[in-house]
Amino acid sequence: MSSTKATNPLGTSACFPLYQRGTEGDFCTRSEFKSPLAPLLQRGDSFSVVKGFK
Amino acid sequence: MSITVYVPGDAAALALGADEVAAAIVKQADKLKQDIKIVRNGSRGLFWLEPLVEVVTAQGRIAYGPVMAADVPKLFAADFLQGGKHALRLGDIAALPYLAKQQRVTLRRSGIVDPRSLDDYLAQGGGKGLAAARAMQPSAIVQQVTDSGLRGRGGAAFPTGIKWKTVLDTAASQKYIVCNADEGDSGTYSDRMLMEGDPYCLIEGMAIAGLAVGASKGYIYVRSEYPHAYAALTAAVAAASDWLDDFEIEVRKAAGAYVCGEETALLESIEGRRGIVRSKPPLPAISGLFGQPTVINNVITFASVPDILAQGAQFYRDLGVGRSRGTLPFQLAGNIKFGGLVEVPFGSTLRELLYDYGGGSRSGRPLRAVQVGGPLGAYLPASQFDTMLDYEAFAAIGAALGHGGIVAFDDTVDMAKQARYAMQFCANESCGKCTPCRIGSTRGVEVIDRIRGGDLKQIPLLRDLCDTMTYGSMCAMGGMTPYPVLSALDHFAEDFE
Repeated sequence: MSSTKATNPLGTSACFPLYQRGTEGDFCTRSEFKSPLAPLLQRGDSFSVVKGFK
Repeated sequence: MSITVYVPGDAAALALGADEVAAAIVKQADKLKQDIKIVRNGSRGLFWLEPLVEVVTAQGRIAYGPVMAADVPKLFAADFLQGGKHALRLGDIAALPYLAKQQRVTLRRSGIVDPRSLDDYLAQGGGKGLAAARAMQPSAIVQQVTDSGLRGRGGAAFPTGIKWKTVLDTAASQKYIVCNADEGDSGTYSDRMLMEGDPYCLIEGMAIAGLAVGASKGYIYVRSEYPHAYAALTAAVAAASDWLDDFEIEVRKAAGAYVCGEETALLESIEGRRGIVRSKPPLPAISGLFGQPTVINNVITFASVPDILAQGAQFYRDLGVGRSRGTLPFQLAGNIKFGGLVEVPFGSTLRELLYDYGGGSRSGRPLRAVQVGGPLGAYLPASQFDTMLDYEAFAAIGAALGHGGIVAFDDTVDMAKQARYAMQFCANESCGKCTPCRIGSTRGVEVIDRIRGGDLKQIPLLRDLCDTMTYGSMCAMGGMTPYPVLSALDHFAEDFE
């Protein structure tokens, strides 16, 4: 099975579809966000996408 | 004194002969020396009754429908200009249960107002939102929109106020307001109805957005398959130039690609390039059209704003449930008896829409599946018809409300064929930028063909492919194509055997 995962600043890995980047979760406050990428995007950091594990 | 007769100029009514009906009414009135004034209004959204003719009488607007040109002489003979009795007489249009049960907010003027007249729009309560916004600070306008709970009606349901605030807070010499009117989802027409029936409402919403974020220029990107909407908007924008002061709107005709409804592909198209999605970040709110901060919202989103400003955020927030506030114009289509637009607050159920409004299937057979949210939406079985219509409830069952399109199928539908259609649609419409969408959809068609040919061992491969498309596609085109495929596989497995 192939999928993409991103490691977020909370130290967890979670599946998060690439097409949802820039959607609601990325804009919410820290206590509200749903996207694991949100803090990264808010900081303007890049993130890595790892394929091949789930 | 002339009698006012409304004959819709809406595309659906025109397809059913509204022009011929209008011509027949004028001809018969001339013959009988009756003084009438024909107004080409938008549609009320009761499409099984189109062409729906309304006459202004002392008893209100009396409706007749569906009217064919051949019916006109008999309507005159029945004194329909005075609301006379006739087999096609429906009575007071506003009292028809299909309309009376709804809670129309955004589309409340569609079918009522003369879409060509700014004066009529203002007389029907339009313009108050813009007037209120002009007396407010930009941040206060954004706060009102945020407090209302309005979320994008194009499908992603992104909180509108947050998007606007991002643009407001981003410094730039030029900002843009872009309206996504590339309504390409199957079974959807609420954007078209509003643009054809109440175009000034959209224009007002965009002008308010301009005030809110400091943008002086707006674009409306209208799909090329909507020539009547394009004409209505072009005329309305020209007539509204003085009313809008320094805010300028340009209407752009789209190029006919479904993927141009994706916001970044749309921006590429407006800039004169091929409609291909952009990587995000940067988000359009920070670097959008021509690299400038851009508010990009759907037609219904912008059209919802004037009422929020005119009546206050709380008015809008009081409607709906949970995090889904306000109303959504649902569009009933497919194998449904009473296809039409139903605007209700979030919180009712799919079953209410399908049966209380839609009247069940047109074929008379049991409804077996419903696709909600366009061609990338999930297929829901009858066991899920009681799902509450709100964004979170649909997400919880692996579906999406999207733009509110609802396409019904009876028990003769082949769901494996529908799953194949979803993959084929993606293969046809993919912009080609990312591999999971471009290649995955073509491989998806091939895999489904093998499954339909009896090779059930291919089903895990199809699921794996859907997983790759969901997580690896750059935009919702490829990312959501698995919704109809997997829902068909999960709920209608017998059709694949």
